[in-house]
Amino acid sequence: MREGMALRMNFWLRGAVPGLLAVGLLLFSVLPLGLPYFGDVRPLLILIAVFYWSIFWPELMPAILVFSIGLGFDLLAGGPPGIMALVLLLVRGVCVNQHRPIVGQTFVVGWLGFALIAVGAYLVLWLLHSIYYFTLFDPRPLVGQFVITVLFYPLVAWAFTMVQSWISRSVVE
Amino acid sequence: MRPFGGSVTRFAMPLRVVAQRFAYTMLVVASIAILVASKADLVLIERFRTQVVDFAAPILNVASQPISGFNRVVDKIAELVSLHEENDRLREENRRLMQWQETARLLQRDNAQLQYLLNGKRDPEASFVTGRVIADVGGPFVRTLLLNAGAEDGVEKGQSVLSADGLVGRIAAIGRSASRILLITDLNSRIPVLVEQSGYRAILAGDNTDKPRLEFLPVGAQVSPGDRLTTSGHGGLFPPGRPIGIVTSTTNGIVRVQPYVDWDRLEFVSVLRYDRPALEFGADGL
Repeated sequence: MREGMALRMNFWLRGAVPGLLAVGLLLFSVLPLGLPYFGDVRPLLILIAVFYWSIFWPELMPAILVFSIGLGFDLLAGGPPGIMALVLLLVRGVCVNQHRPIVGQTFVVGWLGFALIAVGAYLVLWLLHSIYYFTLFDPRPLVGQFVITVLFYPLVAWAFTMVQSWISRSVVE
Repeated sequence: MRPFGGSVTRFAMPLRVVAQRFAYTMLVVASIAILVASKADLVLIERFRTQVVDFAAPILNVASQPISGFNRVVDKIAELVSLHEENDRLREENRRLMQWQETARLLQRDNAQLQYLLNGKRDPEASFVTGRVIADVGGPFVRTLLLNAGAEDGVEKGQSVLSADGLVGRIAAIGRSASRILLITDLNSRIPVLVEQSGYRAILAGDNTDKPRLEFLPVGAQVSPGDRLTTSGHGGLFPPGRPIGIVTSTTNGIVRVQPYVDWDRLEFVSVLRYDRPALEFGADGL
């Protein structure tokens, strides 16, 4: 019984890591990096986090966490509160329902899937912002940010793969 | 027992799925509700935002320090590489500035004498608070910064923010120990400016690009690339005469301005506590 508790605790603690990582990525995405020309096209790393875990292990990225991360980003970034929360929730909804074509496939398929989801997410972001501010935003910086985010996917997803197998090991043990 | 246990799991599993679906839908609805409420300028939302920012400020403050330290090291290395050229350039610049200093001294003396003769009224002196930028979300949609100085440090809403190069923006919201700066490039930024050479007044309007637009120029006003812009002091929010930027293009009637501020190297900025000249409605019967 005691051993069972310890095992469960171990799993719980490890299971909290994706959420903590996502919060870390959220903080990282608002820090002043001071890199030339990076400000406009900073990758939206929280999108990668929400996509990855919603596809491969949705229980570790519950909807309430996705909502909190999105709202946290909105509040810290100074944009309209609720927009990122809504978009990330939509991403999660789509990923949880449509994970079949990606799970168990090669890495490139996951990458393509992410690119596809990201296109949708950025379209919705652009649309919502345009309605909110009642102005048509220049889509070019958006395209830049999209491309950078998609290019960052392999690196971040690779790190998540490591984390995922580390958590699974605790389940098997 | 067995059929009972089986029926419980058979019943509980869909229940859990339903509960999860319900929670998800509620969260989506909550996001939309928050969005609509913020559009309606609900005070509650702004207060919540201030609290979240106040909570996150110490974390961001600590987390941003190694990054700025790292950037400083990179800068130092870059400086070492171009030390000789930099030295030559600075020596040349120094020679030029010495001449300017001479001119400035003369003008300052002239100015003081003339002011004395005319009994001219001086602008009130401005004091300032300097803080460090702890969050920077340059992006396609918003241009704001978080500063690690807030109401406790005497920062107030509406005060202007300057870097060593020029005007950065104004304080849009304040928390206890942090405040949000709305940059002059943000979509919501409107600043009364003065074209230095010609004395035209206009409004500098941000549009989320690096180069804000000059709007509401007087009819027939001639503005050409190279013209310098300063704050005009109209509207009372900004002290007059602070440098903003330089006109870069005037194509199709749209005048674009390149701000002096180097957005990528913005680390320390000053919040100007400017007591605007205002009419006192008091004993004098004004």
